[in-house]
Amino acid sequence: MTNSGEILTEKGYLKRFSDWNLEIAKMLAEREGLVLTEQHLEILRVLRGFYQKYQRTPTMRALSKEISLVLNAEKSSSLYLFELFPNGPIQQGCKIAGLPRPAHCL
Amino acid sequence: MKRILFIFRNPPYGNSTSSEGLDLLLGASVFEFELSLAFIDDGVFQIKYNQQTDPLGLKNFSAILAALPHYGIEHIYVEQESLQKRGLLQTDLIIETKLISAALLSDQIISSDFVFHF
Amino acid sequence: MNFSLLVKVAPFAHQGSLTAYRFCIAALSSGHCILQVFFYQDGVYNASSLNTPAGDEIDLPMLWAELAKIHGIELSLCSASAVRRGILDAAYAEQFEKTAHNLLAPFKIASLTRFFEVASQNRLVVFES
Repeated sequence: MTNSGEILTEKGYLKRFSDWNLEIAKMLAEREGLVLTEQHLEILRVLRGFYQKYQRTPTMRALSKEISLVLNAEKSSSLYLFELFPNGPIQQGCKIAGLPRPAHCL
Repeated sequence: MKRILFIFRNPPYGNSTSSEGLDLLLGASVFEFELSLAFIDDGVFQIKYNQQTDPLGLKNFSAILAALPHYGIEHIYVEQESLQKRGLLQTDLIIETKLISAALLSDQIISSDFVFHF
Repeated sequence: MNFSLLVKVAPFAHQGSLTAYRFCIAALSSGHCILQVFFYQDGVYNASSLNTPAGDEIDLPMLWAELAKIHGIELSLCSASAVRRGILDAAYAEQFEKTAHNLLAPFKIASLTRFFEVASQNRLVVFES
């Protein structure tokens, strides 16, 4: 298991987007007090896909739209996403998905 | 509903104007505004296909422009003469845009509640 | 009339922020209200407590601070613009483990959401280069 001090920033963000894998995802989820399920992973993959395509952390609105395009409408609802990521699908989900710290807190 | 028009006339790199204009636009998108965006002059380069910023060590901030509909931004214009002068076609662009003349852009400005220039 | 201002340029380097300040003075003496002055991009440099003008030059950050205190004007900065340019309050300095903070009171670090909340409800005037 990689030393988390080497691959994470002081605030617990993955230093390198490309370092992410299932093991690291589990570790990041644990640090957030979550147990990773396939439902989580599905959303994390959408988040990573978004960042890879658009080079930016999405807002809730953009994420919902992306999920409804890539997965389905039910999974794009705030309710569903906040159930998976209680501290916020953007704040928490992006961290577990290995996205970098965003510039803005809107 | 408030109508807000953003006019982007600067090229994507060289300074932070375009990138910070985009941040303001996306910041506006969380509200219920009717948002429009117009690319004129060198601004058209922001949506030009095949930008490669890695060799410069710069983040490709304009990639997100391809996802503007995700943010509810659907009125995206490109000024016709600006494209022509730069030898570009709408097919060279990363998003679907509506072609607009300078005169029609003036109308847009007049009918907007707020206009931001970047 | 209630005004909201957006200042995108730094003091000294551009006249825009001085013009914004003078606009406030004129508007206030005509009986209007200035609800918010929001600083974006290089405008955040108006909020540094470390600006040190020459003896015969104006100290715009201090002028903003005094005006805001007297008239209850909200002076807000975009957080991303501010931290990128090294304008930090105590909380951000601690969060990012920086050696110092330099935000001049009563300027506050805020968000673009805050800007639009106020600006969209009032008459907006933009000061840029």
